[in-house]
Amino acid sequence: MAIMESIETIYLEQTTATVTFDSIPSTYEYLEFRMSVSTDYTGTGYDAIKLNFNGDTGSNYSEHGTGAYSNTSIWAHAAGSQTYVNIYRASSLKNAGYEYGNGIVTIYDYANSNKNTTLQQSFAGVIGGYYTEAATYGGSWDSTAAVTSFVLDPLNGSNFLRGSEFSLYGIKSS
Amino acid sequence: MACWNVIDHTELSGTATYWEKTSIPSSYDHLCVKTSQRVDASVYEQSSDLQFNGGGPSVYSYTYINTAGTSTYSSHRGSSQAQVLGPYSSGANTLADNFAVSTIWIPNYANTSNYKSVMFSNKVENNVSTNYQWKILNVSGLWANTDAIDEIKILTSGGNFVQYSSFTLYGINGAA
Repeated sequence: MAIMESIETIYLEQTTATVTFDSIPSTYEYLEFRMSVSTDYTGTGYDAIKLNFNGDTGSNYSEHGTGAYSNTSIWAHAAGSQTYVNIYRASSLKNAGYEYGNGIVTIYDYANSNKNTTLQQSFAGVIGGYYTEAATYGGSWDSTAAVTSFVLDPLNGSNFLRGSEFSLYGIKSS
Repeated sequence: MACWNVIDHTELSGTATYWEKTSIPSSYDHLCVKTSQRVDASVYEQSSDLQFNGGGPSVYSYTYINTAGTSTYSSHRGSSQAQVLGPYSSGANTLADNFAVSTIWIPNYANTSNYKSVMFSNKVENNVSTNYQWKILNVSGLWANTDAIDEIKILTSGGNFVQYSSFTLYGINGAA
């Protein structure tokens, strides 16, 4: 019996506004989500990805992170009562279009009705072939409901670019 | 041969001051522990201790990077310790039903030629942006002992782990 199983992989053959994972089985202890993403954002810097569980867009999300994007720019970020939790990092069209930000997200207790859903993530962003960012984040959804779906949208851009890939895995505990 | 194997999964049915797994088989390449824990102490975050093979001589060392505010970073190195700093727990002052999370890796835990390294990433989440009411912790540790690890213990430094705190220990295989 495999402990870590692939649930679904979504590879975008064309630009796409929203990516949805639904009908997520409750049979795992943890979910792990890996992605390689670029968006059509043309502003300054990187893009991020908004995540909402089970269609909830209330002010029930938090995120806290720390990272660095140069040899002098260590930063930290904190936000509570958000209407989504950001998943990092997506590269943006302005910064070449052939670069993809990478992230690994572990979602704990997603099916446990006694705990809020908490995630932690590590990511790397890349801009212009040399300008990179590395960071680690935590996030939570103030709900004990079992996660059965989640939706991903670009934070600043309108679409995910072709070639973006999202893979969802389940990790069992027995 | 399966890559990931469950050695132990414990979800507390009541309070406890520690989680421990003994008689860990030596047949895997690496160990991984995923934790989700909360304590009943009236704090926002509570440290823990991580020990191997029953603790004992002060042959542990560790270094951590800590962030608990938007302008509050810190690092620390401890040597000649009786344990490695373990993952922090959510305290009773954080949002109800929030449990801190961590993933702990222990590579080559059964190799009797090497000292044992441990590393983990730990998050204490809270639905606020206020400094010192959340935490991001990354830890690297060393147990200066060549014995194979057959026991792991995580002890809270204050209060008790509450019901539903959970600890899952995996054995990870490499290619045969």
